[in-house]
Amino acid sequence: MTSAAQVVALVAIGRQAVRSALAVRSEVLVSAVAVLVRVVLVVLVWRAVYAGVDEVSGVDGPTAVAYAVLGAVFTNVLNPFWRSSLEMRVRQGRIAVDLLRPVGLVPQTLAQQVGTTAAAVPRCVLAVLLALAIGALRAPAGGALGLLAFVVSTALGIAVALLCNLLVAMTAFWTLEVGGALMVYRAVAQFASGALIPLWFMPGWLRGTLEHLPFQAQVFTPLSVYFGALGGGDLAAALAVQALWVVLLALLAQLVWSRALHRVVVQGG
Amino acid sequence: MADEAGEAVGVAAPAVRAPWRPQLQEVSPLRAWWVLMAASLKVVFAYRSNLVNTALGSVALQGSQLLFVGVLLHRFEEVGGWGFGEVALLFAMRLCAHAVCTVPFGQHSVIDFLINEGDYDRLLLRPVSPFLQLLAWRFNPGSLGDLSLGVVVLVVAAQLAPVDWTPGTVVFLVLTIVAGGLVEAGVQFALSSLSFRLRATWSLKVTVDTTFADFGPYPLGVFGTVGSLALTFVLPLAFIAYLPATALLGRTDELLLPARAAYSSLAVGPLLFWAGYRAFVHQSRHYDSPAG
Amino acid sequence: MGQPMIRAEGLVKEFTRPVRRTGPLAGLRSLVTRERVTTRAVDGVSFTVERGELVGYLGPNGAGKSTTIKMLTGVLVPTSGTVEVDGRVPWKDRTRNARGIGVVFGQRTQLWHDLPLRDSFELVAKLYGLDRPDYERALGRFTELLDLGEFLDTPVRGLSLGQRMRGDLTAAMLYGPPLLYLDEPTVGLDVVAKARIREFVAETNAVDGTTVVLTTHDLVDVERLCRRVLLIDHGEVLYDGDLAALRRRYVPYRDLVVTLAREDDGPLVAPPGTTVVEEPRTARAGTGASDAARVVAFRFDPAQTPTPAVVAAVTAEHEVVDLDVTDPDLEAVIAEIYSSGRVRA
Ligand SMILES: Nc1ncnc2c1ncn2[C@@H]1O[C@H](COP(=O)(O)OP(=O)(O)OP(=O)(O)O)[C@@H](O)[C@H]1O
Ligand SMILES: [Mg+2]
Repeated sequence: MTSAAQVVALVAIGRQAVRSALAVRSEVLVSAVAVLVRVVLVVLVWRAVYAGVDEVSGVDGPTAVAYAVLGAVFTNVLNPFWRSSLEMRVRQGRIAVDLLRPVGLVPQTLAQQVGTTAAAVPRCVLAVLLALAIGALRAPAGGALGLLAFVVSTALGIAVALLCNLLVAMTAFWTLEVGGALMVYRAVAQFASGALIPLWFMPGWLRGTLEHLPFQAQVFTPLSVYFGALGGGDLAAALAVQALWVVLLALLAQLVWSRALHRVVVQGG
Repeated sequence: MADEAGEAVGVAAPAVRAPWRPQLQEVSPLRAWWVLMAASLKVVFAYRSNLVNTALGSVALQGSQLLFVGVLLHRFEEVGGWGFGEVALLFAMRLCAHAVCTVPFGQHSVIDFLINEGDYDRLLLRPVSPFLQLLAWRFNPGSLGDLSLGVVVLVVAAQLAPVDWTPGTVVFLVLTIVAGGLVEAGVQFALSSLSFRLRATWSLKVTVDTTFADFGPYPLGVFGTVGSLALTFVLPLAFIAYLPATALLGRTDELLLPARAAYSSLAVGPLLFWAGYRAFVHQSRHYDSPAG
Repeated sequence: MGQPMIRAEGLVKEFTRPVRRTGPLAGLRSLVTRERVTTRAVDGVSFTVERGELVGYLGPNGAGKSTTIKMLTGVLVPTSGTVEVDGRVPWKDRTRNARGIGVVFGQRTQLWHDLPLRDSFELVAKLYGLDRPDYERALGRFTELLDLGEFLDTPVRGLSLGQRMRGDLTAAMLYGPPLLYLDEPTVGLDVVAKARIREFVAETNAVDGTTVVLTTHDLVDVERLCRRVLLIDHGEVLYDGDLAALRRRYVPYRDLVVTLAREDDGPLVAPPGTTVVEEPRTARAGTGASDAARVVAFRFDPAQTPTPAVVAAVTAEHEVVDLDVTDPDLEAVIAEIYSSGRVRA
């Protein structure tokens, strides 16, 4: 199979994921309303938190509110911390069929996740528009260059999130009881990525710990870039750290995958 | 060929047997529920590592929210005028009420699956109320995580909160937690009843669940007038923990409603649960078992 | 008593579902418009089943058999029409109806997946209020009849299809219901397993007097078990009556198949009331006829021309080394009805 044909196949898988995410009307409407409601509630909470306070930990109210909005949107659009199709297919024993396809299983899984992410984009655009309308969001700091840095950082953040999900999903090859582990992962990732509350507010020891984990590269780094919290040198360093995580996690995924494959072949799935 | 039929029947009927028509005893609904529940518990306890894993997963999920609220109060000292101890009590009451919902009633989460896969057929073929059978369909060990974390946090928060604990307030706390659980269960069953027609209510229910979990630990005032009213009368979040908490904390003066409303959960909980149950029973008429 | 076990009158079931669109922006379009289609799975079915009957409920795929059974069992609420089972409306009086019926859906088990088979039986016994001694007696009886001994302690998810089906049958009969519904109980089973299930059903019907409604695509099941059949298609009853009468009415002929002594190719004289049907056939073994022997059939209507008369006339006319009288097989009858969609009046 040529690589062009493989790309076509992957695009088809991705589109299928988009389609199935949009298949049930009530689900589409509910998920759109859900993210809009969440944005409003998050804004209300953070405005209340800042009532009568100008600045805490060097962060002013409008920034904290805007951060919370973007945190909610990121959580929704990344759809990270969620069960991937891979884990489900291993459990249902359908993995053998997947392995027979001409496209690698890892690209298949990633294509599917990208598709699901793409399906979330329209509702998240609505959410951003709503936030702008109620004055809870402002343009990214640093003009065009800032925007570019944010886009790059977001792309890297998405890559880190997808790879982390993939790694967690692959534990399904070793144990069928991954439900609990996935919930722990989701909880840890949501908190440690800074999607709920920025690392700025965390006590020094906690922040120090979280900065050594890949999760902050998923959400906190792109959002720090958005708000211009990182100066020139720091910005470059932050992007480099994200890139480093992508490389490390990709290598790890490769390693785990080859072990998993070995396991499937030896044990017959 | 007609002969063949006769032959087969002849072979099949060996020595004369007495017809099998046993006398059946009446079985009370409660006993039937317990028989099924015991079987589900047996399955859960047979896979002990999964039990522990899932319970820990639930603890982590609720714990991340606790951590978030903790960090927030650590920095800001109060939210909507409520201090650390007060928010802690509110959080704990909400979580315990959630456990009251998930331990016995958590199986509402599988209704989409039962309907779409046709497993709901089974519930209609047994001489037990399908609703009770649904409750005992499986046992979700995650609910034990909710319960244990809830109780631990409640015990700690009870010390921190400025409440004068008397036998009366303790009884009120317990009753109100049960009522809060019934509010949540009632809402979830009402939503589940839509599954019989819509087929997919999963994301609706998850959305409501996470809204309760993520926005339950704040005093309602932070959501403004419209928000407060919406979270009282559209999505009855206020009845789960906030209203009774204002009674315990002596903060009923901040309510938009008369002070007596702080005690209304005790009635609203059972009422909403009953309404959710009725909606479920009523809508189940529309079940159309998938072909096959 | 006197009242029939099952009475269905003008039973109708419609299903309505949204139309799934395809093409560009299909998802978006289905958000704004709502189109629905309605299918009539059962379209005015009426019949009664007396106590102790064993009725075959037959029809091609999608005819509406399972849908009817689901209405009779109380799983589905009919769109219109009335149904009474043992004097009760199943979907209204669901719990009491459930205590008096046993149901096996071949496609879908009702056993507890994660528990040993024995535990499923104990659960059923407790849910139906069967006391301990009765339960032990029943289990002993069914274990022997269906040979369950080997896998009683195996979790249901580890059972083979045939074992699972026997388990499902036992679970359905444990509490001795006077009415048993079987929806494709032999689907996917091997010959031995099928034979065992047939024996069981026959015995249940004969010894216990259990009324049985049986749906199947295996016509051997029908021939071995059912005196009466109900044929439906497109949700409508095509035929309700005796299996033998169906055969007589629909294909009112019989073949006298003879092997001729000589191999002449000439035209044959057909006695009055018969026609010659020449299909490629071979002589039966052990008759001494050569492989090339000519085998022909004389087709006649036994109601018009008695079989002995045809035999006498044919043997007087031709020298034969072997003869056999055959009825057309049920398979052919059913295939003919399904494809023409109507029963000859
Ligand atoms: N839940 C449902 N929703 C929509 N259509 C349905 C549903 N259940 C059955 N049908 C349709 O009703 C018709 C009858 O189905 P039914 O299952 O009763 O057929 P059947 O006679 O049992 O067929 P088979 O021999 O294949 O089991 C079919 O066209 C089927 O597609
Ligand atoms: Mg069927």
